[in-house]
Amino acid sequence: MLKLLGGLRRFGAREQSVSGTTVAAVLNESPVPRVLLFPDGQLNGDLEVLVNGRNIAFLGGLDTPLAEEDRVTIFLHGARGYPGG
Amino acid sequence: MIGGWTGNVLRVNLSTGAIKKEALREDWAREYVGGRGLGARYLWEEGDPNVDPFSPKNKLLFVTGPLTGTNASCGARYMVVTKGALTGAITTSNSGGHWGPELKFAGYDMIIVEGRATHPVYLWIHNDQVELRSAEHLWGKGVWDTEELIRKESGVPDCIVASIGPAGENLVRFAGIINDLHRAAGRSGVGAVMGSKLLKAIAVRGTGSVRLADARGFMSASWAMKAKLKESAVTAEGLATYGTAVLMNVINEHGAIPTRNHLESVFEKAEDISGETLAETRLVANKACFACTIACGRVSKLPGEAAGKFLVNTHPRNWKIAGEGLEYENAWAMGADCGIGELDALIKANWLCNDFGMDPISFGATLAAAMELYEKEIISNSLTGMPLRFGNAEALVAMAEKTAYREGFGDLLAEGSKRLTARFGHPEFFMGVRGQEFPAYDARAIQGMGLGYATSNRGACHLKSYTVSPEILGIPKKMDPHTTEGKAEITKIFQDITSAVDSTGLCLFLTFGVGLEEMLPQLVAATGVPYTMETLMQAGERIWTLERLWNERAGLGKGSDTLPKRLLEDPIPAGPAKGLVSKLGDMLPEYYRLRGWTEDGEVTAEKRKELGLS
Repeated sequence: MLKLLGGLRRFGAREQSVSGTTVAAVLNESPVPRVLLFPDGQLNGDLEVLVNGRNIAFLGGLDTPLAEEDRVTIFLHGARGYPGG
Repeated sequence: MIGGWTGNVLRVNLSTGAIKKEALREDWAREYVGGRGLGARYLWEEGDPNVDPFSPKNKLLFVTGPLTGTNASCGARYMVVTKGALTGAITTSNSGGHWGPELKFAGYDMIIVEGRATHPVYLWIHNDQVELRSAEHLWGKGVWDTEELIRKESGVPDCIVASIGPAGENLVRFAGIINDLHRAAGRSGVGAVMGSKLLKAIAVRGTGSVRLADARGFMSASWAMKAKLKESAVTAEGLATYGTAVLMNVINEHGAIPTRNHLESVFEKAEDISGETLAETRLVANKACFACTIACGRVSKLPGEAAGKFLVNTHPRNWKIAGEGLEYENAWAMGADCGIGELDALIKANWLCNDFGMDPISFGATLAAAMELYEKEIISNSLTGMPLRFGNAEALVAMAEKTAYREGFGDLLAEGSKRLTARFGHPEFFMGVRGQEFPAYDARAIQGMGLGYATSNRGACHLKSYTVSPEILGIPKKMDPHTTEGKAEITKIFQDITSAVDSTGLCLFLTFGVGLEEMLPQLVAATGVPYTMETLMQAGERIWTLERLWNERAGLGKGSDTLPKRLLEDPIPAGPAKGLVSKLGDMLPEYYRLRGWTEDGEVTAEKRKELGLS
């Protein structure tokens, strides 16, 4: 299941069934435009991707494997924030 | 006098009625920047950390920053500094809107309120005209009526009013001070301190301006920062579209939303009270404070049947169908923390809190603690007068009013959850630090927030070290919320940066779009003081440490940096953070080391000397 939060909901229903065996596959099938997901071919740095509530940065990145019951959540923050951290 | 400042301090003694205009300590303005830091310095000099918060000896300071009232984006803030009625710690609660700028335009940088009046009064400031006026006819009225009546009777419809409502008058320990109807210096009970002095309001009208050291340079720097803010998806669009409540779903998805008094950390009805749902169903418009280019404020409505559903009585004060809110923290405290998923009830209760002048975070969290007492059959209907079950939306709205007026069980809620839970023999149900209730992030699921809460000088607070930024939003770098690595360092840095930003007169929300180094040129041009990143960060550390020293004198320093047993020992029962507890003990020693304090958290003589605090 793919869940969209915040401004990404302009691209589709907040929850939708999208199949794929990895995070990358699910994102490729998502209604969110590729230009937003992968500008310059890389995952948008302003995009956070969770699998069952865990950021894929602490899992296997875009290659994180998915089971059928897994939930992928994506949201966009887009800020730069604090310096020097 | 350096730029950005008027150079004038108003000292108002309510006991004697004396009003004096004094020169601002320019040396302190340089070293402590302004706002939070400057207020802390004055309180350090003049205040008694061991005095009862409600004593006439407790001083109440309203302090602007050098950028308050300037053209800098979000230069709207003023800081209320005092000994908190809820915590007994030094508190620095700030608000936006238009009151701070108006004070500067009237020709004053700060107000020091001393003593206690013999009858209710309000302070009237119209440029050089400064006087105490009777407020006996205003006592008992809500914030909204108070603002309107003062404008009407003064014949100055453009005056800006900061006032207390019934909660402050009745010494509700988490009463706030409200200006512009909905902008709040909300936390730690600053409104109760104001109420204890029988000071109903401070109304200001100013027709002056803020003098800048380098006006041309300032405008150039200001436009540069506005351009940066426009580039950020958060400050240009995100906050304006959904407000802070966009975090409801984000935090819930991480399994980090304290639910039912921290018994759980996933709320099944988060979507119903989220920023997205608010925007789709109840939002009228967004709203900005003075000079703000973000406009995160929400104006919401309760249309049709919803307007009447949560009327708690037939008093006109409850006939409101539109107001401001919800912010994330308020929606969480009165929503998830109480197990309530009815958005209209939260909107209604939030309006009531604003009109009554009451902090919705501490109110909601205190009600959540009471609900746990009720669910575990420690208290019952005979005491509460109604079922205080988790999820009872009607009870939420009713108790908001009862708390503000200290009616029935509301009289006990008005003391805050630490005193409430201790009264019934279950202090372990208190979810907070230094007497102040937690905000909306579970310290077990976001480890850095636990350290930030435990060491926060004004008690549990999200605004003093928002490590949600790296741990959840990946700003400025991604940090795993479940681990402790690097959290001591980031917490210290964020605490120092926040202390500095809070002292400029700028809004902390700017940091979602720009860094301190991008704010710096405006500060330098406005003041003429050659601040650098190094000196500004050191000022932040100086401010943080001074607040710590004040708390040490008040008995709230070392040994107070802890979390409730529930967070330290009871694993999160379900969700993405299942099985986690706070590992505070792993982070504190490193934090103390980075601060240059002793192993048990005491500020050393060397550190005091280094920061000029000896």
